[in-house]
Amino acid sequence: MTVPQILYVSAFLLILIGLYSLLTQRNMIRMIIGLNIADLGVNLFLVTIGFVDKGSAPIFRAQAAAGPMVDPVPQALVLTSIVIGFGVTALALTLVMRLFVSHGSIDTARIRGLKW
Amino acid sequence: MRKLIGILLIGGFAFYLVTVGMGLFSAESRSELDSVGSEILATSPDLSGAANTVTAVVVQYRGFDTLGEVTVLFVSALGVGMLAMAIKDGLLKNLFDDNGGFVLQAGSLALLPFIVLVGLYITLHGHLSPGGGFPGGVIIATAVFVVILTSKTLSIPRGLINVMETLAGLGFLAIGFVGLYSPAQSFLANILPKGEFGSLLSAGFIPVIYAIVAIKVASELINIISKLTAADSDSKEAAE
Amino acid sequence: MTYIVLILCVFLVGMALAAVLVKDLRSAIILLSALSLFASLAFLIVAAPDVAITEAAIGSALTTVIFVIALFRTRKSTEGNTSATVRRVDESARAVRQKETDNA
Repeated sequence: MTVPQILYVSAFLLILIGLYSLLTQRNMIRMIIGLNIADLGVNLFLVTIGFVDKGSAPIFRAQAAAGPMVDPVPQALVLTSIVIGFGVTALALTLVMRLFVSHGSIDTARIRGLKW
Repeated sequence: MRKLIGILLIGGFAFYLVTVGMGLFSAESRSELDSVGSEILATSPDLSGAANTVTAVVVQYRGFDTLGEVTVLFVSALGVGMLAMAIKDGLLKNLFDDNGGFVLQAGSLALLPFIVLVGLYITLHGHLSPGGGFPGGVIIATAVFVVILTSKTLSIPRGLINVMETLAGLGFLAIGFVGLYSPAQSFLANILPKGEFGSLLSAGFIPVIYAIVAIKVASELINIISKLTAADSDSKEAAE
Repeated sequence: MTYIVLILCVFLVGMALAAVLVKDLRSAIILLSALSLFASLAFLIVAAPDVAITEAAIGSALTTVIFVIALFRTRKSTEGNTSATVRRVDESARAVRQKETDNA
């Protein structure tokens, strides 16, 4: 196993664990925790795609590094993705708090229209 | 039943991932980049003057994307603010019943300038070392959260923060339009002098944009947290 | 190097599973924060220090703060959910404070 292969496997597992939590939990805060875990898995996956063997960080220094540099494009994308993921989390949690005020519960089984 | 359906769906998705991801696993570990990455790595030092290529991609190659990202964060903060009003009506109380105590309050106030200093350093060295406007802004906002979380009687100057946020957003747009009407004739063109490669005053407008992004991110996050903890002045009047 | 990554990934997946399966919601939030911190280590290993620093700042600091605020805001009621010990300590502290003001 090489380093990227291990990271691919764990990124897939993180995505699956997050989606499982999103689908099966009844508590909404737990669902958002699952969403965050899946988000993390996707980010890890994207960054790993840009990795090259024995690559160094894409920063130029005074004395040139020995090996090749990794791909900067997925890293820039993931930087964007992390910040937007935080925006999504904040908005989702505020919606949950709003739902608690109007329904008195954050359990999907107790709110009519959200049960399945 | 719900668990069973969930497991079945996840199983299907896992099968999909495995079939799609087989190509990634079977391939030998890569030792060279695709065309876009290697092109950017080759041209970035001359084109942008930034030592950190990720920063060059975020601010210069994909500057318009960053503007959209800041807008997404702004819309998110707007939604949180509107929903927080309804929450405040429903609960009508501060999040914390008590102060954190003298030691925590004094400690957090003593820590504030140092955390802000770290945030400013990370922001302004974004084109030379890892970091930049997003983590820098978050760190500056964290300094304020520490004070909010320990002190009940703190009131955030919300007007000042809103003005700063608006000015930062307009500044971003203004720099974009300056590029549009300059000889380069493209939105967000890097027209400032590049300076000496690897020094603090280099890379043209990249440090300026990152400083603006840091101000915007920090003020939006302070807004979100102060609304959710009801640390602003409105709720305190309501609570009294 | 491969073994370090292997151990790190076992930690990552284990923490994710624990965050999903653990009963206490507060523990789940703290486990999510720790997961973010370990993920930033993983980002550092694939030579992405920018992503690592952003993940450490946003994932493990800010997200945790927001989650804890949401948890506080969605408790059934503040009196009912604080444990009996905390309430007793709180009441005794209030009584002491009352006595002090009476004395003064």
